[in-house]
Amino acid sequence: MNASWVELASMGAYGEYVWSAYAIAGGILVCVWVSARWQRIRVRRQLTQWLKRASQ
Amino acid sequence: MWNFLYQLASPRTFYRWSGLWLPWIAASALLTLGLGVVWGLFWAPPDYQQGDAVRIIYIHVPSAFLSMALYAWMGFLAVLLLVWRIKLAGLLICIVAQVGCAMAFLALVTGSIWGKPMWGAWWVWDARLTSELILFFLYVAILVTGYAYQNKEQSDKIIAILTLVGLVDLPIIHYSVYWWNTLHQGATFSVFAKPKIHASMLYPLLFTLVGFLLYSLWVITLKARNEVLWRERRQQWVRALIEGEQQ
Repeated sequence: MNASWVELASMGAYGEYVWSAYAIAGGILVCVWVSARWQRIRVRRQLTQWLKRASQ
Repeated sequence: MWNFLYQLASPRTFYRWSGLWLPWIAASALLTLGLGVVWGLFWAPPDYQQGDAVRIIYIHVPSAFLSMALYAWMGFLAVLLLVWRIKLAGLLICIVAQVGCAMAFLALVTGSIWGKPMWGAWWVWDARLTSELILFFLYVAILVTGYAYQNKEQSDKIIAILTLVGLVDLPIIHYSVYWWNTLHQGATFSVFAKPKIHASMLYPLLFTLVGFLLYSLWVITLKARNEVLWRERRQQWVRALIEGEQQ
């Protein structure tokens, strides 16, 4: 990493605020997406069980 | 056009069509969001007064905008459910509320992080902040009400009514900076007025705004497809779909 990138990433005196905001935003967006994917797995599992019960 | 929209309101058609759109929405969301964030963090210039702290705008404004836009969409869906009894609209309200709640939370948190270095406080009981907090609580109330009922059709109607009542908060949030003397700044840009920020900051902001919009559409569609499958489980097409996937 060259000096200019280090300088850019430091964000002057506000680095901790900027990076915290972006980290929290990224975390929330990923969590919402993961919850949707997890819901897909859960619903498919429940549906399979429900269909099995319904066919008996 | 109306015929197509009417057909799309059928859960089966929605499931089929959304499966075709989903990869494109996901790819566009990741592309615009990624480009907007990199542009905002590294290429956009720092503000002459706020320095690099202004870079929080690229996530704060889109999340705040989406928290309001998604609520307005819920209002539209509530009308569709209560007036035209469209089942899909009822199902969507609760799902849009989940994403809207995350956006309102994100707007409050990023605003608070931005407020500390600029105002010297994490939180002030300013009209804009307080009305946005009320919006967050409205989302929580809608979600809690939605989860509290076993009968989904009944809960859909109740949260639709609650959504319509809560719509009054949207103009209060928007006009709070004009009606009261607030610490929060006025609107950064408007659809009808010339933007108040320089193009070098406006373009990355527009990219993240579109990115957040497409991301919301992506996760709402993902969640809605799951809910459609569960609610329509007694239908033959769902049975055929699940059995087809297992083979």
